[in-house]
Amino acid sequence: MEFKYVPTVCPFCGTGCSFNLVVKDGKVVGTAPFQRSVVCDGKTCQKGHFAYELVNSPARLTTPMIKKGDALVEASWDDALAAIAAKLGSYKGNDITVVASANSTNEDIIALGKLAKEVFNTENFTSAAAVGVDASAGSIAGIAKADCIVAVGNIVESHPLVARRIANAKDKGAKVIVIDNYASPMAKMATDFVKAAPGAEAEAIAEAVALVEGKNVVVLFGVGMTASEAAIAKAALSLAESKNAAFCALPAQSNGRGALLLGASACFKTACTGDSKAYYVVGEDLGPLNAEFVVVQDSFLTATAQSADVVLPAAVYAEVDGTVTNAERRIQLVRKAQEPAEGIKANWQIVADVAAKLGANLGFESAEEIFKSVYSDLSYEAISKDGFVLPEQKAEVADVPAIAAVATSAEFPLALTTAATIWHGFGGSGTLSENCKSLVREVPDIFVKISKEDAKENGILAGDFVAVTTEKGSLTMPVMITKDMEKGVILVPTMCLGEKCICMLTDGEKALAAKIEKVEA
Amino acid sequence: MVAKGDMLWAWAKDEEAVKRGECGGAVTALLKFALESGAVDGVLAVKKGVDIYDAQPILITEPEKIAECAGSLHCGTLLMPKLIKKYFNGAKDMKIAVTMKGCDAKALYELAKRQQVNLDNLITIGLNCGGSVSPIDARIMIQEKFELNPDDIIKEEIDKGQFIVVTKDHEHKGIKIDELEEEGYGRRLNCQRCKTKVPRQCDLACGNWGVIGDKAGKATFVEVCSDKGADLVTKAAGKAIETAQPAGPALGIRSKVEGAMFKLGDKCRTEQFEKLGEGKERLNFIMDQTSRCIKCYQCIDNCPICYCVECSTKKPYLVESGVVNPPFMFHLIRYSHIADSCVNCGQCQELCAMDIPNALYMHALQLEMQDMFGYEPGVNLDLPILSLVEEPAERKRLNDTGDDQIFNIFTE
Ligand SMILES: Cc1cc2nc3c(=O)[nH]c(=O)nc-3n(C[C@H](O)[C@H](O)[C@H](O)COP(=O)(O)OP(=O)(O)OC[C@H]3O[C@@H](n4cnc5c(N)ncnc54)[C@H](O)[C@@H]3O)c2cc1C
Ligand code: SF4
Ligand code: SF4
Ligand code: SF4
Ligand code: SF4
Repeated sequence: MEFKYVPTVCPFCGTGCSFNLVVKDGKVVGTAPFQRSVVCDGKTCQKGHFAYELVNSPARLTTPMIKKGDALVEASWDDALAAIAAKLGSYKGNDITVVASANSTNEDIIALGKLAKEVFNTENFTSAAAVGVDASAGSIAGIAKADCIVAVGNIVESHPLVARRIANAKDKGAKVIVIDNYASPMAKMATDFVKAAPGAEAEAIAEAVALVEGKNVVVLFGVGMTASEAAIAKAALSLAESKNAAFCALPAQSNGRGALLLGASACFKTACTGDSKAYYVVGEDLGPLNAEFVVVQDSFLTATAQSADVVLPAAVYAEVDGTVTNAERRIQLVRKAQEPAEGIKANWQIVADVAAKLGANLGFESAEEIFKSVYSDLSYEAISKDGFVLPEQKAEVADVPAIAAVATSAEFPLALTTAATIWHGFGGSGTLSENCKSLVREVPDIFVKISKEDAKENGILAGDFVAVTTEKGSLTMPVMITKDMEKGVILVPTMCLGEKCICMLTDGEKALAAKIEKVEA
Repeated sequence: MVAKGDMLWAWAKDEEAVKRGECGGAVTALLKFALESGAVDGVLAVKKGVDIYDAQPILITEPEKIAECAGSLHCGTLLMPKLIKKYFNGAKDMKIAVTMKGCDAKALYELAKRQQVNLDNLITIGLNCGGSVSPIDARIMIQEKFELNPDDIIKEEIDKGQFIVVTKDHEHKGIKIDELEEEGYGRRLNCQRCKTKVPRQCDLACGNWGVIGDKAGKATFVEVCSDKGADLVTKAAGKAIETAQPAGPALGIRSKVEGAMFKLGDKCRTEQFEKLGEGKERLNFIMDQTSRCIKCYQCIDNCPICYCVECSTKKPYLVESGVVNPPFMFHLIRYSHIADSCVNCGQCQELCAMDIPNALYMHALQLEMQDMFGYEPGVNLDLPILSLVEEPAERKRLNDTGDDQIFNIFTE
């Protein structure tokens, strides 16, 4: 019998916690703490704790597939690559949009970037991290030493092990100013809570400026994927600059920082809603795509994969060597703990195979070679213990129109806000969390948090289902009635699970006017 | 012939074990002997991972590989018995020799009482334990207090009340543990409260305390605690290990050190529990701290006392699913189900995502219940009330009979 621990980095959020994968007879069977981690000291949130469950999920893809008529049909690698080469060769430049996974390794992103830029010649190289916010100052451990922290949004759920450092600082007497839409777990940790009406986050941040005091001030913002991120980040950055504070915008995805640093940074929203004729998508779930030709590399059959012309089965984090870069710019090693099943390949390897089929040689044989093509002074050995922290760069936030409080109406009397849940990711991270059965057991459906008052007024009881409707769409979901919400405000987490995705309700907006109606389950 | 109750000095015959071992390599030699002689199918021990601050458990089935995990890793804050339950089917179909600190030994007993591990299939080599240090805390301490680069340290040890580090230039530097701990460095808080210094629950209890004279540092003091342990030492003596009678005042010195450690443990308990307060004040403190909980489940999954297949914290009628921060009931369930048997292993605190001092409350509760009911967990195989039945069987009985008398112990 073989039994060993393989340390790796969590595939979910941008905090970059580590844990050991427990390997028994060549298979990943659990996670165990990696107390040696400089980022998390061996602690993880529930997503990291249960991240092993997705590795050998029965839903894993193991064979390439080609669309025949309306259905995806299993195919050989040769046929799948030939089908891609035959079609993709006919598109030029920006007709092709290439979407990298901000939850995959730097090596995967570097290889894909080469494919996009050198083979396809497209500028449309993007990732879900590209929402116009690029700011990373300070360190996660350093937060515990701050004397004043400004937390924008519910960091307890978006970046739990960053929130731990805020708790540490508070225990040492730091002031914790929280700006959020409701009495969230983050707000409950505040010494000073500034409640923002949905849509009025920037205003609330401006209001919080007067509360900031101290010499060592840290401003934190958990970046989401909505249209408001840049506007909120702009306000947070301006607060940070006025108070000489370090501003860190925490990417939602495990390698969001890496994706931005490696150029997968064309505006995500524009790239994904533009009029590209062809898409090449790696490990991201954009919902069904309606383009002429779509190639998907993924480990699971996502909605995007279902709409694809060719699907290629990719390895998951536990099956590859590589690196990811966390919110504090620390490049850390992801290690192969088990061999992928036959027929499954690492994302970078698939990319190289596709390039080869198109007559291009990307020029690498191993993940480390790819890594060194960008980080030539580093090696896997050199970063194997504490990783390597890249230098800070000037914060960049895209110029976007200002946001304002949601205007409710007689038809839509409630202000709906959206925010991360600790249980599930969104997009590509959502694909991962929905394949962890313990996370799904706990939260099997998208849900809406409503106040006791609104529940009473609408005759809604715990366990009831409601239809939440905005001008963008409608979704039915169970309610969570809580005293944490105030009357008139409701919250639906930014998550996607099964057939349901927050985007069906908000189409990428962070806050909207909405209504709820009780429905029979 | 060695018998239960004997005390002896032992060291390895094998040169590699001597060289790599912590104090003469007797433990390594005994593990290797157990494997070679077929007494066990595998050895579960601890080896250095990415560096000396990273302790990794590993199962070894090839005798020549045992020496790879010789030496003590004081940052090894692991808990071995739960691994035996989780990944080796409780040693129910495999014979394993395993190294254990005091908290491991106690945890193993509690799991055995709950029918989660089979002691008959285990050979337990206990290690005396003065305490362990969380790896990142150790690195920070070495940087800030020792003013040394933690990456330059090749060895760390706890000896004569000092935490000692050895640099790659073989420079030794020691600082008194008292001094370190007063400033918030040093051993884990649960280790500071721990009074299981010589794990006599194991088949053998091994350590450097009581080794003096020219054998100091070159032999391990072995207390033979069971017939199984006696058998192993008897068979290995002369083949895998050399033994000698502890010389002069060795026995006295050893028990003196143990006594001093007890005193230190009592002092730490008083100080730490004082901060908890009493009665309502304590309840408020606990409620305030636990209100940060994010329901990561680490405290449950890593606790050696938590073993239920159907965990009550996952019943939606007791704890609403998906709610973060979870209601206080989440914690109350843990307190009521396990506090009587908490072995103060510290896992629920060291691994808590929000740094909630869980082990502190649990240990405090356990000691109070011990005063009330007389049950002391982990020291012997006496049963706590909850372990008298096997969970799935009991649930089935309740279902089948419609009985609501849980753990109906009065009928037997
Ligand atoms: C954390 C710790 C604290 C200790 N404190 C004391 C003390 O205060 N007083 C005292 O007398 N003795 C103490 N010991 C025991 C002592 O250091 C030696 O392990 C013992 O004397 C055996 O020496 P050896 O050369 O025969 O062991 P070796 O041949 O070196 O074998 C040691 C065995 O212990 C295993 N091991 C190493 N680290 C751990 C760990 N963290 N958890 C479980 N198994 C582990 C190794 O895998 C190896 O198999 C401590 C040991 C540890 C691990
Ligand atoms: S905080 Fe983020 S990186 Fe850490 S375990 Fe949770 S999801 Fe993973
Ligand atoms: S709890 Fe006791 S036995 Fe366990 S590591 Fe700490 S001091 Fe050692
Ligand atoms: S309650 Fe905590 S300290 Fe007690 S046995 Fe469980 S994990 Fe260990
Ligand atoms: S380990 Fe801490 S945060 Fe996690 S569930 Fe337990 S008490 Fe809550």
